[in-house]
Amino acid sequence: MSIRVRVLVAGVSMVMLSMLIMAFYIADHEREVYTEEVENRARVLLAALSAPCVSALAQNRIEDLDRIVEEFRARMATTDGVRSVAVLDRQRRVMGHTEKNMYGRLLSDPFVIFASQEETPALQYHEEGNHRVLLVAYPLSTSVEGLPGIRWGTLTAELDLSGESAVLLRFIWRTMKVMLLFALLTALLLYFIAERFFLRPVLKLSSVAESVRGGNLAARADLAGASEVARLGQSFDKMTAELERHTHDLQALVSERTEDLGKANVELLATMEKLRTANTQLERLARTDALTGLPNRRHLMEALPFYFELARRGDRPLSFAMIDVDYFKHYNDTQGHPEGDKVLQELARIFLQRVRQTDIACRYGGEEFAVLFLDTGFREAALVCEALRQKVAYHDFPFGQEQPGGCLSISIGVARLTTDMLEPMDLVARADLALYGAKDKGRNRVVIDPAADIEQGGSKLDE
Amino acid sequence: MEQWALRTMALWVAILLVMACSRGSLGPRPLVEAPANSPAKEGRPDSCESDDIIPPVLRFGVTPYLDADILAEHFGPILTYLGKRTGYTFELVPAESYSGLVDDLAADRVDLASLSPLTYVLAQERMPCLQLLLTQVSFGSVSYSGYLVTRADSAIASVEDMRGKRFAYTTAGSASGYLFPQAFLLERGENPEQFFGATVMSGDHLTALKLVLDGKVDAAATFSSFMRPARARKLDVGNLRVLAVTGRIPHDAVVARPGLAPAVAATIKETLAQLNSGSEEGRMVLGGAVEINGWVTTQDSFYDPVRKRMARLREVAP
Repeated sequence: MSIRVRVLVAGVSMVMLSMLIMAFYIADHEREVYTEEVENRARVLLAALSAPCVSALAQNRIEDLDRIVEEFRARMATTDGVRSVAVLDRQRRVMGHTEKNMYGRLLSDPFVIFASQEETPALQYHEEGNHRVLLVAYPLSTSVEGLPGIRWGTLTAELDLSGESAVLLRFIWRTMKVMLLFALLTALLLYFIAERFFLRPVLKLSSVAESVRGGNLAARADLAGASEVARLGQSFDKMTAELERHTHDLQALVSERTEDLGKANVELLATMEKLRTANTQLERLARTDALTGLPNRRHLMEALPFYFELARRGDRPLSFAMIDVDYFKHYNDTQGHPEGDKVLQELARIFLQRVRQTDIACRYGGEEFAVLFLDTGFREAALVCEALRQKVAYHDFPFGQEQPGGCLSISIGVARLTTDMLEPMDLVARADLALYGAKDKGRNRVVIDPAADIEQGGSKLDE
Repeated sequence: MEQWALRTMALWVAILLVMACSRGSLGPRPLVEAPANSPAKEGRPDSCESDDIIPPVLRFGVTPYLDADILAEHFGPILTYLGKRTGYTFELVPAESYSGLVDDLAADRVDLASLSPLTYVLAQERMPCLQLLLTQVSFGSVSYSGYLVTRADSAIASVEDMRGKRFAYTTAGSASGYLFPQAFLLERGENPEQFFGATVMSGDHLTALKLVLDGKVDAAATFSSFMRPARARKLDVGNLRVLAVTGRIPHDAVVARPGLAPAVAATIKETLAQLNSGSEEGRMVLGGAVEINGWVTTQDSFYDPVRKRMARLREVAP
């Protein structure tokens, strides 16, 4: 429900409520006024009637009384609801009455007793059905300017107020018509004042606030004046302007920062790339022998458990050869370490040329080399090793002829994966044992681990 | 138990004491105590002297507004009643004239009198110590209206129509018959001496009405309560028409001569105030009187309407 409707409903309700209250008040007031009017009229009427009654009583012309009161009743019955009139003497005996056969009766109801002792008019109401009946009593007396005088008797009358409600309603309606008009005009005026000074600015402010909430920070209420609502609008405008400026600044700052961040990101990516390259290189370097460029012992020790386990699980053959340069100390000692290093580099080149792509040749340490033959039986491995030995033995190394035996040679021990091996190093140890065997037998030869041959039950590949 | 009762009593005594003290000391009090209910003496100077003796016979004078025998017929029973009630002896003294009665009062020849309103005002002027006792009630009222009447078949329809006509006053001492009609004309801006073509003094109201009915005058001044006695006198009052009301005139005043013992005056006042036609006895006593229904307590200012008109007349004709 819009605020306009609410204000209208509230206004109309208030007017209705005020009218209702006013109606009650007016009804109450009018009843009082009417009652007072009726009472005054009753007093005046009875005062007028009292003169001939006093005269008749004073002159003892009792016979006139019935006529006097009846004439009065007949004249006033319709206009004032006069129902009955009685003239009582000092002893409250009926001297004249509008009803027949009342003469001489003693009236003793409390009101008459009370009124007969009063020097002023007495009034009493009683309910009869749904309307009131007014009892009026007027003292019949003669006196000078309020001094004690002669009391002749009492005049009583019954006034039927059955027309009262209609008269009251007429009174109320007459007053209410003016009131209603006045109330409506007031309500209209109030509504226009509310519309001009309250509703319109508030609704404008509301729509602007909605617009601002929707993102239009340029929206302004532009309320003029010094009223509370106007001041609220002005504050709101200032606030929105502030917000707009602030938002603008913030956007500039954010874009600046975003640009910086982009640049930093690019730099970071470049750095990371460099780092990755360096890392890869470092990793490669860590697993490569610096002198020969072959994988080093560390690489072998990392790779071996994986292939060992793979072969065992797949029940595939795996062979390992341990190679040692014969009399290398002698070479070093006679030719110098730089020449020894050259030999080692040359050997590595030969090994790389001779082993298959699936074989892993590496420098085991010092003048020791090793080859891991993947998925290869020991005979085949031994054949490869024999080819290597021959190649080396016939290779023309500088100062080779100066070695004991007349050439630079190598000894090789070959082992294969057997079922009794528990860990990778067992394979290495067997190959090492076979190598010692080769050394013992005079060097420059390939010795196969005896255990490998036994199990296979195969031929011996010695010399 | 006894201690409790004693304490309660002591408390009550204390409260009463506090109340008494606060009333005595804190209540506002006038610097000079006003004399308690000093009775205002109506128009009567404080220096009035009176004797204490009760006259052997109290002489009651009556304004001769009717024949002496009629007056005796009316007032006889009243004086008898008064005598019976008060133990005093009364004697009716019909006066020769209005002024004669005033003279009698001044000379102590009468002790009490019933004075017509104008006579009362004049007498009170002459004797400030005259004691006003009561005002007579007639037709249930303490006052009556002064009338200007004409014959029912007369061509005169308004006061203006009376201009240049023949008119009957009663006597110069009558309120309704002279003072009020004169003042009435003066109030209307007329000169009473020039307004009528001819005027006569009829002497009394009966004669005045006879003059009108007989066509000897065109109009006359009289008073409202005279119609009934006039009818009783076989006058054709139905053939009269009221042209104007000259004013409300207080009824006759019962006075006591200056100097009459106040106790006597008070006794008579109280006794007469009890007598009215509201009771069987009252009706018996007053039965013969010309519409006297009783008397009520009164005060001198009640006769101011008469005084006012008298002053008006004196302004014009000193």
